[in-house]
Amino acid sequence: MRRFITAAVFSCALAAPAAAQQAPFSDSAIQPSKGVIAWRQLATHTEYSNDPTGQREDLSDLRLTTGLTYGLSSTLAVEAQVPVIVRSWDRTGGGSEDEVGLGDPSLALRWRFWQDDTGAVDTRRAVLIAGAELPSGDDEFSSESVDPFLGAAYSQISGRWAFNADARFKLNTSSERDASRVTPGDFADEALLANASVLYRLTPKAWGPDATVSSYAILELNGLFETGGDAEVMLAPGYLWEAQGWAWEVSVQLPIVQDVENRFERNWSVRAGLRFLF
Amino acid sequence: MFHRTMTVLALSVVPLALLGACASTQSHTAGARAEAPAENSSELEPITAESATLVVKGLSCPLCATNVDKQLLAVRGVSDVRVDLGSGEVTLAFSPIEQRPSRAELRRAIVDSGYTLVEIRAN
Repeated sequence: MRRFITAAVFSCALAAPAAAQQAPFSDSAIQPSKGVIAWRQLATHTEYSNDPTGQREDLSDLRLTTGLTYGLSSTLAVEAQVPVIVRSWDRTGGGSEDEVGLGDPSLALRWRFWQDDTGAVDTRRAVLIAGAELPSGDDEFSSESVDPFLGAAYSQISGRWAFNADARFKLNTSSERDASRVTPGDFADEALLANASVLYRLTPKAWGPDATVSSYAILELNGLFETGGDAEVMLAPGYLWEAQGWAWEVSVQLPIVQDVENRFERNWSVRAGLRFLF
Repeated sequence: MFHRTMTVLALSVVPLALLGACASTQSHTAGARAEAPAENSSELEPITAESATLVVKGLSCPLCATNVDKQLLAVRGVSDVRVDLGSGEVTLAFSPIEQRPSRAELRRAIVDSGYTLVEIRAN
């Protein structure tokens, strides 16, 4: 319990990247401006099954991800994310175990290289993202390798609709192939993550001088494709409520396509989060 | 265990360094804004009106528009910012005791916020 509290306190010392009209499981091309800090705090619960090693059953993973994005200029930002993981499972044949630890943090630069503002709120933007996941040093939760990634994101807001698409390719430099690893996309194989999301503004129907809060219905497709052959496509309906300076989000993620042989299968995920701008 | 402890300590330093950079960047921003190129000398002169309205594009949403608030409130002389997402109008009130900002300073603030400035109207 003390390890969990220590880990949770540490995770709150940092903050999570946050962008308005960003879907919970996807990235977007919206980022904080010069000198502004965005803090995003996420809690993600995932249920897994079908351990390929046959040693564990019904694994539960609670991930507290905090991150911080800082605007270096109007087009360049730096972001850091740190996951604290609480994991429990049943051992095949009886008994249960749990572990608390630090997942691999990540650092990245975000550069908005294109922007076309077409109306009071309407805009189209694109960013490039380059960074790396770093080993946390926690044997149970770390890939124990520096894994660089390169990606891009596109966002478009038009009237009550918003559309985001992003893709990220991660090079897993670890040569260790350990089937007891749980985190998808974190093995010896390279991983391509691709997402698309649609947001529809529920309220207000029209913007005006007194409209300072808004809410959105969200639908995402989240894909993970690994060079070892494992692939998943998840569907995630969600909801976002935002005001000036902060927002909260919630989403459920369910697999609709799943071809996984080398690791646990994801049964479902629930994510909730808070976003702040300082 | 030692490796994990060192990683935790190193990652704790990163956000503190970023926060320190944030403070130093904001002070540097004020100096850079004053030196931003203007179309003509009137851009550098303080606005004489008691308020102004900026027309801005790309504001996206309430949370995004917070970026505009923060950049403009950091401009000397701006005391209040009201954003109308419907029209893209950002209405500024100026402090009665501080020197009024120049059009160049307001223009730079919008650039720094990441949005597109259409026009500045002194009210």
